[in-house]
Amino acid sequence: MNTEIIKEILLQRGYNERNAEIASKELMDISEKLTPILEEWLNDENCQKDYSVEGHSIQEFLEDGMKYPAAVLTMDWLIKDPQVALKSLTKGNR
Amino acid sequence: MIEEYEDITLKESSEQTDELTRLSDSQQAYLKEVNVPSEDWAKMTDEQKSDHLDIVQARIEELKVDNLGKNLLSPEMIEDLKRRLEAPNDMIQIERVSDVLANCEEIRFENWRHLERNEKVDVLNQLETKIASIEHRPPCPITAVKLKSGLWGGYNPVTKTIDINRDYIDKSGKDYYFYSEIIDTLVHEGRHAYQDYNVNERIVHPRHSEVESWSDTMAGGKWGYWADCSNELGQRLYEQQSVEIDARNFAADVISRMENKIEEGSGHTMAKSISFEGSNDSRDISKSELLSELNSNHIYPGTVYTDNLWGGLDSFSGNRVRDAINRARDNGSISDSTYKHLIDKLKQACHHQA
Repeated sequence: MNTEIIKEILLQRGYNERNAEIASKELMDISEKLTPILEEWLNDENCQKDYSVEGHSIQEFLEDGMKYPAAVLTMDWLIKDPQVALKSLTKGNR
Repeated sequence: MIEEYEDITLKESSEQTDELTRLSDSQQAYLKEVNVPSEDWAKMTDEQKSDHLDIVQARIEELKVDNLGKNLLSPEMIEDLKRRLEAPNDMIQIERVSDVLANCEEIRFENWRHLERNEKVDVLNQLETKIASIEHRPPCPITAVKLKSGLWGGYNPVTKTIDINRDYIDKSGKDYYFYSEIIDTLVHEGRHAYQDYNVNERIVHPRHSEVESWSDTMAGGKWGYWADCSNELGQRLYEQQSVEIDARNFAADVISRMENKIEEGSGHTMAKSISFEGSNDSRDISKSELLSELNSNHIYPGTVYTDNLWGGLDSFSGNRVRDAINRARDNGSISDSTYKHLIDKLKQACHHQA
């Protein structure tokens, strides 16, 4: 898995240039707990494995409108910085 | 102070010819029409000057002028115009906006809960007009709209309007949490309007470096400012955009000051769901001073939050700041005396002890 390949896949799957650039770099640093499910998605767009932590799940994020990479990145945030992430997810967006 | 004026707006360009040639003869004449010679300007009262500057400002905005040649208006008029156009610094804005909110009877929860939805929206629009005046920007019409769950509101930089979640406005009449968050949303989205105005219309914010950081987030829609980028980049990257951090912190400080003022004015606990013991002013002030000093020492602890109950920093943020200060000491970027000073400041800013 490398940044360029991930970026290319994201572009093919509807990301714009800028977001593909950013997301591909961020996805390279995700927790190893999430790497297998990300790799499965990169190989097959329809493969969207779920993962749960701190009372939130990837499936929940997908239902909120996030694309799979965004859901994985948000899950990664919950794993690495649960207190801050939980506060953000609980408060909602403005 | 003069350097700030020269940087932000109405630059007295040394390239007079170039600037003047951007204005047609009729446009130059249109501005010169409202010029008042220095000796006459000095004799005018403040009210007369203010009234006249209303006219001048309207013409400048009509012509979309950013740079004035030295010969269009008298130097004293230009100086007074610059002072009028520059917004107060954030600390003053926070104080004034919190004053507006604290002095508004309609948004006291006990009154707010009896208002119909359209009345609530009217109140929000009235407040937005006052907040915009403090921030030296045009007010944005506020409407209650159907938004997805979890989205409190949004500022639209194309239409220059603010949408607030209709369902949450309705809930704010029954639930104090929603009420508090609606007010936060009002101030938060207004801050986005302020950021947009500074980046895309006219710089009035005293700290230009901050305007630049906002611009990086907004310019050319790099971050999809008017579309929630969390859908593609996740929640963290959305939250960590400079415009979001700024708006979040500004609103949190305003709400915190508002709550302090209401409590001090009433002499008893302000809200149904929270209670206070003692004044939070010193912690809030220490927090603001601490954040400024951290910035000056290039220490960036990340997002920090206000303790809504005790004022100052909440426990999580206090620990985060402490860790950041310790890292700075460990890598030698701050002296021992600075370290001690910052830690002392941190203790003053926290109800808990980090």
